[in-house]
Amino acid sequence: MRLVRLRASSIRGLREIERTPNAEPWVAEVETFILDGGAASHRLEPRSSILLADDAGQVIGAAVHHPAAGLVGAQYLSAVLLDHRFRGQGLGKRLLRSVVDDARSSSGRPYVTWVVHPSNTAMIAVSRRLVHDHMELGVERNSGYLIFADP
Amino acid sequence: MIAAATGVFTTSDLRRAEVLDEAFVHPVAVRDGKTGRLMLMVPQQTIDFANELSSYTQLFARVVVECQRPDPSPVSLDRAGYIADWTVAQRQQFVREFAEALSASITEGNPDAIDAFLDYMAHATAPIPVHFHSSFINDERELLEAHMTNS
Repeated sequence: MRLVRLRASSIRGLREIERTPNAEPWVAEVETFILDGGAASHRLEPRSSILLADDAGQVIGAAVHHPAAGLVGAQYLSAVLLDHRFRGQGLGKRLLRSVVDDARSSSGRPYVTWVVHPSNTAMIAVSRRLVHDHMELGVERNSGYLIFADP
Repeated sequence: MIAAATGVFTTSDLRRAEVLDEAFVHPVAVRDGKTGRLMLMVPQQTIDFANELSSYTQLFARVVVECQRPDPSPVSLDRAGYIADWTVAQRQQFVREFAEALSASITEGNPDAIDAFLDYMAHATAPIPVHFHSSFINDERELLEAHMTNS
């Protein structure tokens, strides 16, 4: 798997990602955000990135990160999406690891943080495997989203 | 784009299924066996794409012209009318990226790249949904600050 920055000529790659049938609302939210242009404003912001995950020429996912507002040393991973046809194959952890590494290296910010919906058990498990216990920072008090940071 | 005929056949060859199959996908030259006259058979999809490409190229020209003006006309910008309210720098980026996506479409012989670009960028100045911005965890910022200080 390799990550490529979304360029004007590669936006159509997002169309290769298939929406999850009968998706939970929090899954549909992420898909709409990334696939329908909710993340498009990041294309006009040089410190933000939209990434395509490419596996053997097939776009299998996408992710977005941008500077964490008010936190000089942190980049915020605002969305990670793995096409539902490729879930359950261990690709989620590789994708998250790659995106976290990209967020750190491309921004020059040492810390990467993200939140996970409390019902997203797969992403919670992947996040817990990726980071050490002390990097699961807590829970967003209004929504119950879990907050992670790396390192 | 019609680059060149992919094969030269005679009128009698048109009875062969493989020749017709090729003619449905690529331009082919057909020579009249008696008179030696030559004609070019072009698939309908090639004509359709040429027409689409012509529309996109005209749109690109209008965008370039309008972006020279201090107050671009949304009507003249047509499908790209959404950039009328953008900043000068954003419009300049849009023109550069339009050129990149248009070039990709021409090279690949289909409108997907430019079509996806124009659709996606229509959302580029829309506000980011609250769940997908780092301000979502503003209330928990002290957790991150403490983590960053202590690690």
